[in-house]
Amino acid sequence: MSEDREEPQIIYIDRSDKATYDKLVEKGGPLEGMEYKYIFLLAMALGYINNIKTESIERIPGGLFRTSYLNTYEKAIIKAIAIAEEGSLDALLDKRKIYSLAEQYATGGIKILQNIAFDKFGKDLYKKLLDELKR
Amino acid sequence: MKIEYIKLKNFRQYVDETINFLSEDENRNFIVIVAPNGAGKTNLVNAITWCLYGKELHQLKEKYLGLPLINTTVLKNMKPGTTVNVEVEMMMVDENNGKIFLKRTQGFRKPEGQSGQGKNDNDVIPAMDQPLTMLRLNPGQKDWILVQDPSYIVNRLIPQSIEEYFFFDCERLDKYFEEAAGEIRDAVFKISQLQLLENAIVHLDRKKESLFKEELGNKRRDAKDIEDRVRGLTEQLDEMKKIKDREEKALANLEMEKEEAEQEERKYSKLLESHENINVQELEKRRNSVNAELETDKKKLRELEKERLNMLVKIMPTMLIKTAIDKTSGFIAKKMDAGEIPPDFSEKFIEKILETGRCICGADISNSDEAKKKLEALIKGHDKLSNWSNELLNLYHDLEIVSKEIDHFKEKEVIYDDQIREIEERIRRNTITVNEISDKLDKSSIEQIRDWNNKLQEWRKIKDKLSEDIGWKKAQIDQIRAQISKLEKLRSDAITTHEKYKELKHYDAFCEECLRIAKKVKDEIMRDVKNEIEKKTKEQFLELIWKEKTYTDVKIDDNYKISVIHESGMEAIGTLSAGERQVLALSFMAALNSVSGFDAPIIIDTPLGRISREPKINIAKNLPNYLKGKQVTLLVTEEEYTHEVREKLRPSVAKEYKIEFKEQEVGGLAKVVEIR
Amino acid sequence: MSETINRRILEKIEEMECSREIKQFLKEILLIELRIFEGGSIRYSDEYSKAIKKYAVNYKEV
Repeated sequence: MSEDREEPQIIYIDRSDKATYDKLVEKGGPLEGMEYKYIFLLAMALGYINNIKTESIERIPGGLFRTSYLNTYEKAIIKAIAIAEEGSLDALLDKRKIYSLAEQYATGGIKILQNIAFDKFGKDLYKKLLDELKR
Repeated sequence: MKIEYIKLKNFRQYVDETINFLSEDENRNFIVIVAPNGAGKTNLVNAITWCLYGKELHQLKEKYLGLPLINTTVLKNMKPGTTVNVEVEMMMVDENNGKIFLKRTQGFRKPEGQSGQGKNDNDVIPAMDQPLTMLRLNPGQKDWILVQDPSYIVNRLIPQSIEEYFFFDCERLDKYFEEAAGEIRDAVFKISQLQLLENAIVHLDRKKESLFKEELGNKRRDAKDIEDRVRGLTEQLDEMKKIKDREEKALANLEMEKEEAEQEERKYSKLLESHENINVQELEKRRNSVNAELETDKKKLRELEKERLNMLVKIMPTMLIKTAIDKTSGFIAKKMDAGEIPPDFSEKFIEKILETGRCICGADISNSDEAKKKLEALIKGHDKLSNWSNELLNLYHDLEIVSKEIDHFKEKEVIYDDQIREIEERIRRNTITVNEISDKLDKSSIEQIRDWNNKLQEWRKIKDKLSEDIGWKKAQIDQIRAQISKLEKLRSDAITTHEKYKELKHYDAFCEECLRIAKKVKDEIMRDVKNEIEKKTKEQFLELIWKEKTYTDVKIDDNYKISVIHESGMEAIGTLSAGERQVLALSFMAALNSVSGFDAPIIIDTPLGRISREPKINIAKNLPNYLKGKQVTLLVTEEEYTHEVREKLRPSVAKEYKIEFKEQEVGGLAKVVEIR
Repeated sequence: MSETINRRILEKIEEMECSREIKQFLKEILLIELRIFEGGSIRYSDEYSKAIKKYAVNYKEV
């Protein structure tokens, strides 16, 4: 398999989203202390389920985190999205495309997460997330 | 650099000749070779250029045009199918006694069945290759070193582009005045190595231009921009630090106030606890105890809620994309059901069977076309995905585990919910208890108790508010710290860029000054060299010319166009006789050689050809002075080398040779005989 | 021909009224040019950078 189709080393987000990630995990933030990868995966899933993805991303220099930080299960769900999207296991042939798709959905979904997390009114974040699950 | 000897073998009319150039007496730097026209003077010069550059650079006499390099007599006597070499060997020595040995060889083959009279080129086949061997002996060393790239060294010693200024043919000196004078300027440029200086100026200029771009790239800005940026960031930083200090002071104040509030709260609590009324004592003690429990529970509740939230955040992606997971698992399961994965066999396994020609059962299939065809068909029909069934199976397994995690979450969620509910319930109950106690104390008939209770409640409220404010303030301060950290990094980068910029400005100024000096050096040298050449040419020309008073000046302009000024003030170069032009050219060449600093041997072919008696004697007398320290070889005819000329040159002549030439049917044979 | 720099150039550089560093720098870049002329595969840009850094550091701007 050519290098182009191999798993990338770094996961990127759009540079304009970094501030949101930081606000979520900083001290006093709604997801204080959580690692970036969890936020990314959640944003990705929200983006996928709401079918919102951003095709072209202005990559943040240095990326968000290394792909090696993901465990095999986390990688499995990223692959599942790509396979479901393409409708075929052939999606596994192009690893670069798999992660690119994940980044696109994450960029779409982070805005949803932002709205949920920083909405001062209504229930606490846990309940709001449960609601999101029920939808 | 001087020539020690030249050996020629089978080169044109020279079958086997050696000419020695050196003498023990350093003052004798002239070698004279006398020969009639056509005897081989020009071919001797060509032998040298052929040795050095692989080419005969000087005009061949008509009779040699079309003839191969190899001596025609030798060629005629060659047996068909044999090869004979043409060789020219030179030994050069420099002022430090370092030596350079050069030898060029070219083989000539007489084809089979060829009688070859040597009348034309077709009679013999020259080798494509005419390699030059060069060995060096450095001063004070004993061992000769083989030079890997002789051509480079040759071109450093006597560049081909300017060889005609050292091996010159006087009869063709006219061209120096008729053809582009600019060529002479270029030659002077090269001879004095000013070309190197010119290249250095060009390169330095380019380097200077690219300094900033190379080091700063896109970050390049004006000095002022960078300074402004540094200043701006410093101001921002100072401002942020002031804010941080202010907020930290405010925080300290809040903590102090909270401390005070706590003290007051404790004070009133203690008063109540130590009241003489036992009921009151117990109520207060109970309230304190319940409050303590409440605090613990609230902290625990926050922790549990955080844990539960984190757990949800981690599992939620899986839950959200359950359909995608199921779909993927479905695809893989289908392949498993179809038996495609894991595959019954691997492609490599089948390929090995085909390669070895032996089946797994041991049967020899190497001669069975049918078996081979079947195996090849198996490989063709094999789904390529099956080759990486491992990856699919792993993925299937991982997704199974991931799906199970959803159930685990649900189980844990229940546990968390229960725990949280329990604590919330306890908090609710304890809160009620606290309120009831506060109520009772509020409604006490004893005014003092009511008063103390009120104050305690107030202080507690104040304390709680302050706790909230403190938490908020701490978060703010953390944010400010993060901003400060970011600004400090930006400023540090800007300062580094600024420092870099200052450094580059310094380099720029340095290069600027170096360029100025380099250009000045170049211009002054060109001017000095030109002036010296002009001066020497004039001195030498006027000294040599026989019409002493007719010409008063020789001028050379910046492009090396030579003018001769008649006593009437008019330009006279167009009216010089052939002989006068020859004298002028000779004077110029002598001046060029003496001024240039170039250390090459000089060979002059027919220096006195068109010159009449008086000036001939003059030249013979003065030329050694003009070319002091250089090795000069004169190729002269007997008509040029008169008795008087010979006498005048005698003190400077190291060796004299005669070329004895015998005409042959084709070409000729020349022998070099030492006269003195 | 010398295999080093023509003495006339070196002497003229010495005559110039300028700082020591400039003179040494000019001589050094001439040697670089000689090596390039001889066919050495040298990147002038890198060599010049080194030389500039070496001599400019002690050079005092007028």
